[in-house]
Formats: sequence, structure tokens, C-alpha cells
Amino acid sequence: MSLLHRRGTLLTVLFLALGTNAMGARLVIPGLTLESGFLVQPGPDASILYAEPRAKPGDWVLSLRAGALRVGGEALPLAEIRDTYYQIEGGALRGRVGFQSLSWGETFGFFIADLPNPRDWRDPLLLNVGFVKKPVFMGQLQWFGEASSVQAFVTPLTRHQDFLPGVETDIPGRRALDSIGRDSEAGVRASRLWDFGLDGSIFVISHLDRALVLDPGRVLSAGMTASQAVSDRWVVRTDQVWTGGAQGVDWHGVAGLDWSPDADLTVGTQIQHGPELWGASLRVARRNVADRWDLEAFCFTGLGGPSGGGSAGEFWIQPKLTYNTADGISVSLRYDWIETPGSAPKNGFFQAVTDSDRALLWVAFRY
Amino acid sequence: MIPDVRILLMLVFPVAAIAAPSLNPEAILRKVDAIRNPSESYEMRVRIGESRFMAMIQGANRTVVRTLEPARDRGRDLLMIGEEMWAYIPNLKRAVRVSLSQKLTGQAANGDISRMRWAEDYEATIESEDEGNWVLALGARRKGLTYERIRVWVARKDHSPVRAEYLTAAGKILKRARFEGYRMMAGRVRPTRLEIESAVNASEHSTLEVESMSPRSFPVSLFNPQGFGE
Repeated sequence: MSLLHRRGTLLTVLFLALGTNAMGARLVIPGLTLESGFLVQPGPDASILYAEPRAKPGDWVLSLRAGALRVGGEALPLAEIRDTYYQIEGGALRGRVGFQSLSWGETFGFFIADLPNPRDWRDPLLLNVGFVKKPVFMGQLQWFGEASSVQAFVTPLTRHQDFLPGVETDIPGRRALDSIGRDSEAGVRASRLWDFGLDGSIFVISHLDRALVLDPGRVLSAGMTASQAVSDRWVVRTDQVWTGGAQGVDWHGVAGLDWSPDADLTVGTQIQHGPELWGASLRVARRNVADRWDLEAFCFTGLGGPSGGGSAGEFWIQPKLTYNTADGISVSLRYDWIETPGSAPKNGFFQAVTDSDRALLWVAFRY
Repeated sequence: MIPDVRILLMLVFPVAAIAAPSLNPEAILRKVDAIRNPSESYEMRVRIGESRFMAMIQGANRTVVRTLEPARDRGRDLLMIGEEMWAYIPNLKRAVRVSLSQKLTGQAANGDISRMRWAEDYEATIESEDEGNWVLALGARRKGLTYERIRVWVARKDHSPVRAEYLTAAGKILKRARFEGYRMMAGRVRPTRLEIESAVNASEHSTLEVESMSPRSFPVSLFNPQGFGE
């Protein structure tokens, strides 16, 4: 029996994507960039259909998402502002006001330092960072030096994370985020590239707890991210975050090592730890096989934790195969083989997604 | 009969006699750089085989390379600061640190596009010269450069680069290159074609063609990993 038919919960998804960001079409003309795309995910639990046009007229970036989410036969409208902001840049300073997404961190797969934005977990299939990050209204100021930068932001009112109906109602203490001050977030990050090649950042952020099942209590997180190329083949990277709140201080960390013997092969390993959750991951990517094929595989396994935590026994293997034509069309097939202990999703890394195996097939055209 | 003084000098000090009227090697190298670079900050479009790139170059060591062709690599821009390199990943909306082995394509290395100013990176000496050319020996001022040593033939008449050999620290030749296709571009005559071949296997070669060059100013954020690609 083939892997694809190993379980009865196989979901087959046809994902049509156009564009450089693999989620839309991009048309660039002087002074204006337009992006749009759509995604169809049929499945027994949920399906999503949306368009996300994006434009860059002058100093503005405008992006909206509109569509529908179907859960258990019930259709829900999907309409929200994505990255939509005004930008001023002069000399070493850059300021932005509006709905924005910030990206912090150096590691892949699990983004523990990527704290400024809440997440949209309603997509149970794709696990696409660009999709799940929820832009929030903020003011952001960045200073760029010769080898350093400082970034500060303040969010008057943050937003809740989104979950599928049913999950959302189970979150204790969920309340409206409508009080400036009580529900504001702010953070600052300083980065520097040292002469010997270390690219490091330290940050501190006052935010609402983004743990998936907790009430939105306030916490303070501080952390560091770092990466360094060692010789011309190795890259070391790490994110470390300490989060303090009413329940004490938690320490989460991810450390990884990438090896690239040539331009087409990358092998990356990571180990991550937290108060309860430990895991290890491996990523192998080989490009330009027979000048047409890209092969990639991501593998994660839960290692348990100091308290015998919930991630022990979980594993996730995600092979991906892409065929590239000469004229920009590519066809990709990805398979997710997920195992969690017992029959239901556990309180581990995968609790936000279904533990069902799934396959995704998509066609992309870049122009 | 009084011998020609120059002949006497050539017999006694063969190099000094010819080099006497020449500039010092550092000055020659700066003039070579001026031919290869139209300004402190500029945009250059390059073709290497089937691949096309747009390089945005700021000063001696900051470059952003945007892939135009092949279409499959569009969006995966590269930022190079000195010998450090990042790739922008659209799906993550951030730049990811990558190693220098993530070279561009074929025999052309990142350094062939990103490090267009030799005078900043290399110490120059005149190795030899003839009627037409100076032969400069360039030694890396620091570790980590794409090439540790370069031997460059520079035309005496106009300081234009003619050909080059790229060597290891021990002196083994890795690649040979010829600077060709001289024509007007961005205000003066410049080489627009670089023929690069492997010294180990002559069948391995790449042609780097400069399609256009134009002076351009860029925002500071473009050359910072925290601002690049957004």
C-alpha cells in the first residue's frame, strides 16, 4: 500500500498559485505593483477560497484579503486588511504607519522569536507563514547604520489570534481587545553585524500571551537571535526567548546548523527546547536535479521534555517535489505525514492543525 | 657612439626602466576600477548564460542581486555585505542567512558581480610589464574574498583590464577571464563581456555580459538584513 493511501484521512488539495510569493500574481509597472491570487482547499473539515490583491502606489502599500471559509458545511466570510501602511524613508530612518507584519528570528519551521504579530490558525492545511501572520496596526520606526539597525514599534490595539470555530470558543478568558494601554503592545530590537560575521539581535517586547490555549494575559519577552556563516559552507543560527508573566519565566530556544557544499544542496538541522516541549528537525533541499527537479524534505520529531511533556512521539515528515519548466511554470507536490500519540491531536506542537495526513499539489507561474 | 640611455637602463634595471614613467600599482588599480564602475552607487543588468540578474551596487562591498531569469528564482534576492550573504525568502518575509557556496551560476561567482572594486579588496604590485600591458599581482587584504589572488593584465594606453587569472593563495590558477566587448556604457567605454573559464577544465566556462549600467541612489535600508527585501 502506498504512503498516499496509508490512512483514510488523506486530503488532496489543488492549490493554484501565481506569482513570486507563490500565493498570487504579480504585475509590476512603474510606481505600482499589483498582486492577486487564490487558494482552494477542499476537505472534510474546512475549505478556504480567497483573493489577496496588493498594490504599491507611491509611498503606500495596500493589501486586502477577501473570500470565504467553509467549516463543517457553514460558510463564513473572510475579509480583512493585510499589510496596508504608509512609509516615509529618508537618510538612515524609515517610518511606517498602518497594518504591518514584522519578521523576527533566524530559524525555520518554528518561529519562536517572531512575536510581534498574532497568528491566523484557521488554515488547517497549509502552514504557510505568510498566510498565518496577522498584520496589526502599528507605528514602526527603523534606524539603519553602517553595520547596525534599531527597530521600535508600538501597537495601540493588538488583535486576537484566529482559530477555527469550535476551537475559539474553548479558549478560556477570551475577551474583546478594545482598551488602549491594557491591550497595547510595544517592542524594540537592536541588530548588529560584527566584522567577524556574526549577525546578532537582541529584543524586548511587551505583548499579550500568544500561547495557543491561554487567555490573553500580558507578558514580557526578551530574546536574542544570531546567525553566522562559518567557512563558505556552514551557517549556524539560533533564536532564544525568555517570556515572563504571572506564571513565571519560560525559556524557549532553537539552534540550528546548515551545511551547503554547493549552491544546490542544503542540509539543515535544528534542535528546540521549551519548558515542556523538545524537538529536533531536519531539512534537506536539493535544487536543479537533472536541471528540472527540486527535491525537499522537512522532518520533525518530538523528543518529550523535562516534565515528560506532550510532544514525545509526535513526528512530521514533509517531502516535497517540484518540477520546473523552462518558462516559469512549476508543479509541486507536497505530502504531510503526521503522527501524534493517541487518536486525537495532543497538546503538543501540532495541536493547532489536524493530525491527518495530507497531500498538496500546486502549480505556480512566475513572471 | 653613445648608447641609448634607456637601453642601458633596461639592461641594468629591466623592470624599473620600463616602469619609470608608469603610475604606482594602486593608482593603476583605481583607474581600472573607474572603468569597471560608473559611480559609487549604480544598477547593473547582467546576463550569464540563460540567467539574468539585476545587481544594485553600493560602494565597495554592498550588493543586492535580483534574479530576473530564470523565472523560478525570481523573488529570491541576495544581499551581500562584504563576505556575508543573505537570501530573501518571500514566504517568510525576511532575509535568511546563507553561506557563500550559494553562488550564482556556472563559473561566475558572486564576487564577479558583487565585488567590482578591486582596489578596496586587494593590495596591488606590478609583477611585470611589456609594451602594451602592466601585469598587476593582487593579493587579498583580508580573508574570505572570493579570490585570494588575482593577476590582471591592464592596457597601458587607457588602463582598461584585458585579462585576469584568479589564483589560490598558493598560486594555483583557478580560473582565467578575458575582459571584452568594450563599448560606450554609462558615459565611457567599458568592458561589457567577461569570458570566464575554469583552469582545471577548459570546457567549463561562463560568459558574463553586462547589458546596462546606470548610476542610481538606493535607500540605506536596502543594504541592511533588517530592511532588505521588504
